[in-house]
Amino acid sequence: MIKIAAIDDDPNFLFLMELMVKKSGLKAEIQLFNDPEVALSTIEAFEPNYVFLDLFMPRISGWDFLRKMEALSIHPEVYFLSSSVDKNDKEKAKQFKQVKDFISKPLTFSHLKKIIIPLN
Amino acid sequence: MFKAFLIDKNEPLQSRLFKSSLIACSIAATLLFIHDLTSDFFFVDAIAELTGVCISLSIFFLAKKETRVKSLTVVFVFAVLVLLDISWLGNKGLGIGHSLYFLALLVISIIIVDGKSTTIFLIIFSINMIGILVTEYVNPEFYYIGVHNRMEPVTTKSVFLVISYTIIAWAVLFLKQQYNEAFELNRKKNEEIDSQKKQIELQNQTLELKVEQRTSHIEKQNEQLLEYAFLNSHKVRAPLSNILAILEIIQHSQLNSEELVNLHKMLVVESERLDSEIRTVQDSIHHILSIDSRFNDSNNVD
Repeated sequence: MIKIAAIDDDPNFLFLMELMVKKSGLKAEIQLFNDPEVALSTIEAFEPNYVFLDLFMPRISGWDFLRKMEALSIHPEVYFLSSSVDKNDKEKAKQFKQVKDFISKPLTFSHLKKIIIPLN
Repeated sequence: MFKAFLIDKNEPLQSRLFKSSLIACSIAATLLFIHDLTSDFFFVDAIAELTGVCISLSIFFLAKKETRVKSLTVVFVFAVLVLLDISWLGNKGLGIGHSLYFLALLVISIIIVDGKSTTIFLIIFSINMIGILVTEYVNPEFYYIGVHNRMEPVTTKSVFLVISYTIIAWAVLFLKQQYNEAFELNRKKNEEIDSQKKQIELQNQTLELKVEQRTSHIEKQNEQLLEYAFLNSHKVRAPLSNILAILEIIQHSQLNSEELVNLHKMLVVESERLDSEIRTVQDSIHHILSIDSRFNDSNNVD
């Protein structure tokens, strides 16, 4: 089973993300994190294949989260999901090896299916 | 070489005037000498008188504070040359009439250098006249010009010369006063222009300061607006992207009634959130603009 972690401070987004994954027909388990601090302490045990990360969050930003996650023993593919896309942020994201793409919300089914490759 | 010496434009005007008047002195003395030797040749006499007038005018123009020494030098040189002429001819008979040049020039220079010395002028004039009259009374023949064939009473000539030089002296004094008035007027105008210039410079500085203040204000405002634009686009797009995601799910998947109700509720919530975010943006812009209008008002007052 593919494991997906979604980290965002907007609970409505998380609800929609979960629904989308469920309706996409992908065989995937998704875990939602409304608080990035909680996510940092439990994500290592969850061992996700994919991480969808918001950029602007209170207390811990997407960048901070990424740096702290690098110290952990997991190596998921990371996708930034943000409401607005700044070109500087896109450039900055390229510096992180784990970041695969920088996506402007909303996420569509077709985009989701392109990202998630089912395990054989 | 002589021409270049007089017309050389690199030299100050006073210096050129001084040199040419010294030359004029020697010419005048020579003419007087010839005049005395050649028994009253009217043409020569007239040129000598004219040269004397030119020298008087030079003395007038040189009688300013800075060139006073030059003015007095010209007086002295002319006096010495005229006296030399007199003393030389003294062997054959004295042409004392020419000494009046010396006296008249002295009077002119004194009037010029110290504009209000009417008393000194009157004293010298009186001494001159008394001296001539007394000497004539004592020895009348002494005053007839020895080498000349024409016998002319020196008294008549003396009175004529003294009167004419007095007129010249007063004319020169009048001119000098006019000149001084014009000079003073010019100086006052220059001062006025200088003060105006200073005022304008001060105003320019104030203006520059104002421009700097306004520029910094506008720069600050720009930064603020950019910050607002960025933050608000992010905030506005958050509910909008959720609405778009809801529509995406409704469009592309089969949903049961419970899921539909939930999505409908969420659609309402997100739409209201979007509306409120847009209102916040409007309020922020209004706030920045009202700060701006207050800034402009305060500047217009001063």
